[in-house]
Amino acid sequence: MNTYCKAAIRNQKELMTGIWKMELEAPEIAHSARPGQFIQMYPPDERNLLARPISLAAIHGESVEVVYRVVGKGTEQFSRLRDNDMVQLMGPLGNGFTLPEAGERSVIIGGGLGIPPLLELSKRIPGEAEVFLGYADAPFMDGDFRGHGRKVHVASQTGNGGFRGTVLELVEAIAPFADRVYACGPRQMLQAVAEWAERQGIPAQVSMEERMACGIGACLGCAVKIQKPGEKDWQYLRVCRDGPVFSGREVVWNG
Amino acid sequence: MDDRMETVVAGVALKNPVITASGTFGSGREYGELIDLNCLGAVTVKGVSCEPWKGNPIPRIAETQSGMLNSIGLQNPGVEHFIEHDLPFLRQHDTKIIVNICGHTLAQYCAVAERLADCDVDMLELNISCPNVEEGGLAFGTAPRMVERVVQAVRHYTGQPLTVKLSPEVTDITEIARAAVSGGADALSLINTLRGMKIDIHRRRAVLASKTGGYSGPGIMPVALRMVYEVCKTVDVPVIGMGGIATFEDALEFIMAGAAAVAVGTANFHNPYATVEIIEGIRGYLEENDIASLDKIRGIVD
Repeated sequence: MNTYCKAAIRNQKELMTGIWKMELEAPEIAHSARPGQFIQMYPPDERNLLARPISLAAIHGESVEVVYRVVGKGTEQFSRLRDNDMVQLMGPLGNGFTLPEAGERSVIIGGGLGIPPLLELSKRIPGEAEVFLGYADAPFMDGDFRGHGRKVHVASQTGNGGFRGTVLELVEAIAPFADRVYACGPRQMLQAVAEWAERQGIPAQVSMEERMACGIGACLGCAVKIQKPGEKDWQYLRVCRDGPVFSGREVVWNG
Repeated sequence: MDDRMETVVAGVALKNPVITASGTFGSGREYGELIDLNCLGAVTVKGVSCEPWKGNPIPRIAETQSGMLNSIGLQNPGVEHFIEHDLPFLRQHDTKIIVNICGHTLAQYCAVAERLADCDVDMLELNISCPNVEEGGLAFGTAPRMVERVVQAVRHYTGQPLTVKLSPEVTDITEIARAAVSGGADALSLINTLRGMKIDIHRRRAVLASKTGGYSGPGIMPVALRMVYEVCKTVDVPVIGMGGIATFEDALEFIMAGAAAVAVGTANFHNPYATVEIIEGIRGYLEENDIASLDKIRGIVD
């Protein structure tokens, strides 16, 4: 159930340069949210008209947690908010991930700021799940995945944290056995993951990102090319409403 | 029903003067989960064409200072889908339905108007001003003779009340307004978006895939208000004023400039309750100032 509400900020802190984590006290959102869903966060300065879509990293009793990178004016404003400041939110939005069936083994693959949206999923997967995280340089949040007992593999461009290379190169090197793949990260990474999953013959759920206006499916701003099985042609679906999680094999990656 | 809020546009009685602007509200379904659609004067649905349109490539959205750019390209599933799925949904609500219609050719505009002619809708809004489609749209809306011709042609295929949505991208808006009225428009809607652009200096390219898009939001309101004012002084048909309206004060400015009703667009993205708050705000203003009807202040600025 989507709610438009004000939330109090708790425990905002900078995880590493430019990457921030905050807890938002929003019971209505926390009570109905599922892993893979997102919220719209409205910048306090009204000259920034559009809300910023940010995925939920964690869902606690009365609050949700988000992790974001300062990339522009909106996120810069969020980073200046302090504990007890209020921020306007709408959510939870989108479809979220579908959890695996009992007995299935999962692989979770995240890249950069695509890692936080996988945390709550990782916590809630009842069975076995192996986690692969890719970074530009220094890892962050890998401890959160280890914290609930997941086996975590880290890759980075610099070799910081272990493997030097892309997260998919690491996945290919380890060649985990899986029944399902979950991924969030840059589009190029998601495409590589979807193609890898296809070669393994396993379904991949990929969480996509796109510039958004309304966040609820009315404006058709955040389009993604999807071709459903059995359909002759692709169509534009809405990341906010029909996604953000799509089947990797249905996304039209080139074009 | 609050009589002092009533307004009439093209013979259609609205319970209040607040309408949603086309393209910002879908067909109401999504916003209906947040607000009560029954409180709206009317819902103007997203542009409907005779066949499904895929729309433009991504990115389609860019934020600007106090505004935004869009280049959706009138993506829509076509008039048959609208009649089957969206119209029955909207009809469950106590609000008027305005269907924005679009086409790439004169024949396409006529076809969609003809298809809707016997449907249970309250008004058609002819979109000859979209900046985001290559053929149709602006090409029809910027030359007076073309405007008159397309309105006349569509008029021939429908007896529904017809409003024509005008582009601000013209030398003289009053000339275009007169042409639309002479073609048979019962009302005018203005303004559509202005053409704008945003460049990402880090990537050194335009943010929008289509380079330019329609600029909307509070930044365009003074331009919109001036044009509504000029057109209201020029033609006798009612005007639906729109362009950057975000508060009840904004809406009242349009009414004092002469608008019969107002449409709220981009503000819905910023605040999904914008329409509801604007309705309450206008009502409060009328009560506080003991104004018996909107007619008492409509066009009061000379």
